[in-house]
Amino acid sequence: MRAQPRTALCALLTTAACSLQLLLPISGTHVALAQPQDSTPPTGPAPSDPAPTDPAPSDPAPTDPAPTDPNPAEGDANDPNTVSPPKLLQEASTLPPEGLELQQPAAVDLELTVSAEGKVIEAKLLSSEDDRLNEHALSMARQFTFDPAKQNGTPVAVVIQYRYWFEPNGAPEPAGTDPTGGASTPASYASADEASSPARAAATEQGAAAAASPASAADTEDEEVYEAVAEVDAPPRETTKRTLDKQVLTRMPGTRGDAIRAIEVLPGVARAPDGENPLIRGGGQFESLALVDGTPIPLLYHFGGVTSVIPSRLLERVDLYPGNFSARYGRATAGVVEAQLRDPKTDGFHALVDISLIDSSAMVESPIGDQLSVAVGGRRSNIDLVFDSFVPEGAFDVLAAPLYWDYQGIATYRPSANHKLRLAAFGGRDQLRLLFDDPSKEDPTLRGDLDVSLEFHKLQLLYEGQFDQVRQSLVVALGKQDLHQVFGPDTRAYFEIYELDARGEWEVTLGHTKNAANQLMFGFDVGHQTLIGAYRGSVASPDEGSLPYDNKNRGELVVNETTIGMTSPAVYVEARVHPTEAWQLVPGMRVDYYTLQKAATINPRLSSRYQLTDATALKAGVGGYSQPPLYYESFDPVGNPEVDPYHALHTSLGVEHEFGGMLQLDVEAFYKSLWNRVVGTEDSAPPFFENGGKGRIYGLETGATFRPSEATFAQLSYTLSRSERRDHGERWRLFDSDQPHILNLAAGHSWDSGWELGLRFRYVSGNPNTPVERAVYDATSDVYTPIFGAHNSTRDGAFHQLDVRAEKRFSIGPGSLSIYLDIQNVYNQENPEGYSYSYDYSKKEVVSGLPFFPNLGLRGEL
Amino acid sequence: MIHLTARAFELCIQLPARQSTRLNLGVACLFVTCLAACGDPLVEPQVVDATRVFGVHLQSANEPERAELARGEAGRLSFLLAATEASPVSGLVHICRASASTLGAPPCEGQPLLTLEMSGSSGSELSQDFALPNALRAGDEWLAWAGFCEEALPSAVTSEHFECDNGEPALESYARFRVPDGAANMNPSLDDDRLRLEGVTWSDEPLLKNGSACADSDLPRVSEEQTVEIRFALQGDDREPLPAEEPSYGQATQESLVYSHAATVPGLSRAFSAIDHNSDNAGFELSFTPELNSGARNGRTATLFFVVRDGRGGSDWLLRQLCIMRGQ
Repeated sequence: MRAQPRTALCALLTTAACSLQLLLPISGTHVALAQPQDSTPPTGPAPSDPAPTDPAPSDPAPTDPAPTDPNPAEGDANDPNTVSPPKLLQEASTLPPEGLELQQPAAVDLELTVSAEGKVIEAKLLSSEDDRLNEHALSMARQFTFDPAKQNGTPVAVVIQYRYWFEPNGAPEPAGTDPTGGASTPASYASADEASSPARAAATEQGAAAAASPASAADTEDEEVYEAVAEVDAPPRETTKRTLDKQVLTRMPGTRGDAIRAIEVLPGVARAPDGENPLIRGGGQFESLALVDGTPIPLLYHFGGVTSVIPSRLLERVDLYPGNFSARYGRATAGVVEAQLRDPKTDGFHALVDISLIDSSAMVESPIGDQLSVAVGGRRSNIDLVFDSFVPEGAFDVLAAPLYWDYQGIATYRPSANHKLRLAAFGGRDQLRLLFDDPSKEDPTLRGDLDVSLEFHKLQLLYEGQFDQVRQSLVVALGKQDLHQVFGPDTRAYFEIYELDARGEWEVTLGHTKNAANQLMFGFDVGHQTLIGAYRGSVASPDEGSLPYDNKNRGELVVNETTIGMTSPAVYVEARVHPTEAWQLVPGMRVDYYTLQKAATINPRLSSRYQLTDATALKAGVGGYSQPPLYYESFDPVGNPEVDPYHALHTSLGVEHEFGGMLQLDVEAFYKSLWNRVVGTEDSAPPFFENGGKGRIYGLETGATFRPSEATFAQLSYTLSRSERRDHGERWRLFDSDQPHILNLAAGHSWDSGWELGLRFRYVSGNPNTPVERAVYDATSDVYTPIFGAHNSTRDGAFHQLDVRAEKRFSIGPGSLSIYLDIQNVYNQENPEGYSYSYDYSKKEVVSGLPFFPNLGLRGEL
Repeated sequence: MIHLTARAFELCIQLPARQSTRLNLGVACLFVTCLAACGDPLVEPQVVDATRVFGVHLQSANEPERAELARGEAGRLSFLLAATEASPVSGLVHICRASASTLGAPPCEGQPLLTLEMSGSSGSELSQDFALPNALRAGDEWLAWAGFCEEALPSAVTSEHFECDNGEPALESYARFRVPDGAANMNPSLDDDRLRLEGVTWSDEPLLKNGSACADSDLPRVSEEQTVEIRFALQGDDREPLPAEEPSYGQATQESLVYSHAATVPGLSRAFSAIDHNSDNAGFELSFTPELNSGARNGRTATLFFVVRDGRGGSDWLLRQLCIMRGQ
């Protein structure tokens, strides 16, 4: 239940009342499915290809040699999953840039992302024999037009590695007959993964992997040396993986361009009305794992949902695993959301400035030399600039208006195509300080000083490497948080938290079943927190299932400065085997230990995927999942040291079908059972928490993704589910955020003129509510205490809302200027979020969520 | 009264959790900001438009200033019932040991140790002398659960729930007390405090019937829509020193005092004032502006109720009256 925002100030402030989350990926699971095509040198070193015998700039072998097919050209030619390479439709000049003397041929190796329309939408520098050629090569490559790659006859976006040759001054230009331009060599190509490929669309479950097509490559011009290794995503290990790529992350209407809030359009994600973490498949907000590049981030959202602390433009993708996720993830019984930082651009200097009503941000990024690229950014809120003018006179003194800021720094070092080292630093701060002149109009306990600040800093080092048959990923992150809070005369706390998170993962390719790689993955992850703090305030209540009593009735709890150490190491192993090429089995096992609870959990998991036809896949999963109690639930005297981790069994069964590469459908049924849940003691008396709860969640998720072109996307999802809990053997009740019906529609289109429009519509069942039957007067405190009826026995009205986003982009020289308008709740629907009661509970009124709220912004990019 | 309040407090504990990646803390605080600053209450708590319990007072028979009783000690328990009219009221009070529950209204542990009956008139206080049951021990927390009925008799449904024999819901109330195991808590006092109305000492006058004509009385006169200033100033300092506790983090060195004020005529600027333990300003001001048509040509008596609480069971109250004149 939420406060009723009744004024403009409140309307502004309640923009924070949305849920967000940030996460991070581990590394992509690219698997090469075909042998490199014959790398025999061309018959003659045509001027356009002076060194055809050179290996491709990125050695495909380490990716995966897949040596099982001695003649992959023939075999793959008939493979309907074959991806034919893009063909360059123009000549590429071999002349060096004006003024540059070239004494001998020199090559620049590029990685080009070629859209389904044949345009180069991204060009990256991989290596160069002459740095003076780099910018010129990148500039020229961006102007290329290709006949796009095709899969099953449908144009798809791909990533190719392209060798651009330059001739010494005075050398003849290449003959114009070579449609590839002849000047360069598409050394290898990869079907673009979901991070870079609009064709694979936002929010698609990964379908069958496309196979490379040496035959197709052979069909191209003879001077086009194709080391035809398709480096594509294998089917996901998880039964269901849903992805939002960077093409969509910042375009979702109603999110103000925020990537994490955008995942609410995906099936299985409930609406979290008050800025909580995403609620996935009927699980609680603390039952899902949120990661950024494999490590947790302490603060996902500024002021509970205004915006995520890491700008979406620094994200490559966001993956959602709503259930039956891989053994690499643990300490969660609901789902996983993982965001992946992108590497800084390597094609030259870029800058971005974004100013909106909510905040202002800036970012610059650039390569430094051949192997290093960096990005630095920051953001500051604008709320404090206008806050004073919204404050009613005499209500309170603003000692420090609401303010948030954050910063990001990323440096990526690529010593070779197969190794990457990335250092990321990010942090942020939220603060607010008000002094209330008088107690609240309705509650005398709300008075005095309100002083809150939270600051965090995180330093993360990531290494990814490919060694022959082994892929390796290591992540180490150090962090520090500082929390300070004063809330009236009787509540105060401070915490310093020092964090260490580390993850190591190795994936070994053991062989192949035809084109399907059989692999073994194993790894560890460990999280440690040392918390130093003190607290005076009310007794804590369970995160879910507690009735909304005012805490003044809950007694006072005092903890002197205390140090708590929590370490959670885990090891896991998971295989990916293919009994047949079409059938993938992923058995796994994860073992966790929790030092605070002195308990271990062992979770076996199994998922399976069967490619019934080229377009249809069946999938199923079953597995055990565990997570520890929240730290305060097992920390004496706040909680009960005897509480143990709790558990869930996930089962799911589904089908995916793809229509011509543009439309994907996904239907999945699931059932989850929870036991040993940590709940409050029956009378909420010490030790306050115990393992006395059960849960059951079942439902059906359907999703459709339509991506006819890079310029257009549409996502439709509908989830039908029921989530129930049972505490202390009592009757089953509804989960606090049970939402039986969740319908989302999001769509967008961009035009060549620079216009872009998008909309999002949501219809969601109202949350369960517990009625107040009567109230009794607390004569000691002069407040009324409600007496509730049956827990969650009523339900709020349904939520529905339309959001619209419009953007116009103007090209100005080498850069662009965009103006955008993101309107939330276009038709100003008064969506119920709970009730507001009179001081004696004799009257109530519906509390509505965010009203019509436009956010206007200006963004300049170079 | 917004339920979110509870969460705002909890967040102090919950935020540092590894899983607590949200920043609901900020949201909660902002909503609390709204709570204090946005809109008008559904019901003005400073307006007495029906009978309601407005305070409880416990005093030792031997030491009236003391707000605690030792086991077996005699004392007096009083409830203040604010009302617009004086009606006969009957009350039933259960004295019981408090259970360890911290959830919502505190339940009794077991059956009541003692049942008190009270009777009197609404708009005033109802009192009953009693001796604290010997079953309670030093340090025990005990409860006084009360049910009051106007023109009817209450009966107990449970130890914490009452009903009236005329079918109307009982006015239910509870108060927490503690059997002292150290320095006793004393009741704060309003009598020796300086209460001024428009800068003039607002002295106690014999109470008239609320709503009665008052033009011929000595009550201070206020016209409709005329704003008068009411000022409280602590003469001494009722904020008692607090005994040192362990753990001690954030412990105040003295009490905070919270004042509740309500009137039978709409017009008080707010319902609550506070003099916190760390406040240097040992006083507060509020205003009273009787609304239009609240007065009468011959004056209409309005009653104002003032209650002070120290948050530890100590309290005091006083009543003052104004004569509201038809607008001039």
